[in-house]
Amino acid sequence: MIEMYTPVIDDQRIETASMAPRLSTLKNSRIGLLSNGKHNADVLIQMTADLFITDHGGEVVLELNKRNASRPCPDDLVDTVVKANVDFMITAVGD
Amino acid sequence: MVTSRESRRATIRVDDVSSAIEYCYEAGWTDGLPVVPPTVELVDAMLDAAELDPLTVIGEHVTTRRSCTAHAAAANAVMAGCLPVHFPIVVAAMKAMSKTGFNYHGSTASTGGSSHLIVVSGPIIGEIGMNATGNLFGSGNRANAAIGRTIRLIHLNVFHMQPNVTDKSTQGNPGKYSLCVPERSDRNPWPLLHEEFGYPDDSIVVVFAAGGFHNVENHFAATPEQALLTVADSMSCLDSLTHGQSVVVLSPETAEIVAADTSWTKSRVLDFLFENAYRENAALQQIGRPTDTEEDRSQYKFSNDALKEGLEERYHRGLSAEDILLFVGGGDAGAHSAFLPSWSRGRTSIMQSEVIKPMKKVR
Repeated sequence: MIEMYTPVIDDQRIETASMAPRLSTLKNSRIGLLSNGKHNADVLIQMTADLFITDHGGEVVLELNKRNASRPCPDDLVDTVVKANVDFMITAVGD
Repeated sequence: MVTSRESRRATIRVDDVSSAIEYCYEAGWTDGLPVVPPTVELVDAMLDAAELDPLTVIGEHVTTRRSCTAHAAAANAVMAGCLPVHFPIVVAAMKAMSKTGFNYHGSTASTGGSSHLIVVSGPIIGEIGMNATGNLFGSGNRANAAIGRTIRLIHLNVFHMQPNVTDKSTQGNPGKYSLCVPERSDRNPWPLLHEEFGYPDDSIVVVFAAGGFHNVENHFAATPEQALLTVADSMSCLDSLTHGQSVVVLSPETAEIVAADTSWTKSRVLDFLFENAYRENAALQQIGRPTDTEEDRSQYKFSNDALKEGLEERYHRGLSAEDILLFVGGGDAGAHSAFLPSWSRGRTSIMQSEVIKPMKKVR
């Protein structure tokens, strides 16, 4: 008989984040953009925002850029997103 | 879900060794090669020798908010084939990689396919029988192979950086199986890394998120300039030319050619490499790469300001000579050196170091 430990641990401080409340309408939304800093990410999210505006109206009121795709989002930028006066944010990866 | 505490209590029982090996495969605990079953006896012996509380946190993966306990590290070290005497290097490497500047998560998740290079310097190399000579980068030495492999197994099992799930590397990297090398001291004409880092009596690790391995060969080089220009040329190849850091491992033969003239101190060698590891902007433009901005250029540091002349037409690897980690390694014969570029395109990941805490008792 061989008795083994598991090399896997799953506990950690994993916090389950709740989803943001769903929007009842997309009409005339205040849109925020967050580029992750990859090449062309800003182009992709701007095009996506343009599609929303064409179909539903609204405007882009906030444009943010994480600058570095490989690093965690800085706390102050997360704070800005959380406090942003927008109806929804669009973020994307480009390359 | 298995918590840190439960991982100490909830053991698994199987009938025999072959069943244990297959269990490890089926549980998804391996890197594709068979592992040593992490038996209670072997894991506890690893922890006892290191005199570590099993629940001590030795590494943290900030973005996933997962941490690695000594117990989890020991279980993975056993699986990788480590002996207890190898474990202090694993612990030091985990601590070094957990430092903020290393950007642990990015380097384990990126399409860039970084391998985590563990460089060991100091007396522990001889004490545990690491191989700093021929076939430095593999294979054949248990300590080199098992220590490097442990790091990879921890990424898989503790931080859950699974290939094609959370590790999105485009082509992977053979160094992801294992990449741990010691510095060769007996053919090194310059101060050793542990001395340079300020620990003359201790051993250290330096960790580096490395891109692909470049073999640098020039058997015609007879002068320091010829030998080092060959290295600088490799460092400036367009496929990996960024302002990230570099690791250069000179072969003993090449180091001997360079240091035959004693005016070639290590500092002079590093300056020479940095000053010559560049490409003209026209070469970058030819492949569609952006060149430096004025702000980029302001960050360069040269040992001699005169070298800034014409800088608006050049793009250097790194930002200063300090961005190059250089040491000697490999067999006596052959002008085969190595250059390993940073994984990061810029300065997203910066190499880190840690002193290796010596083991008080060895089994």
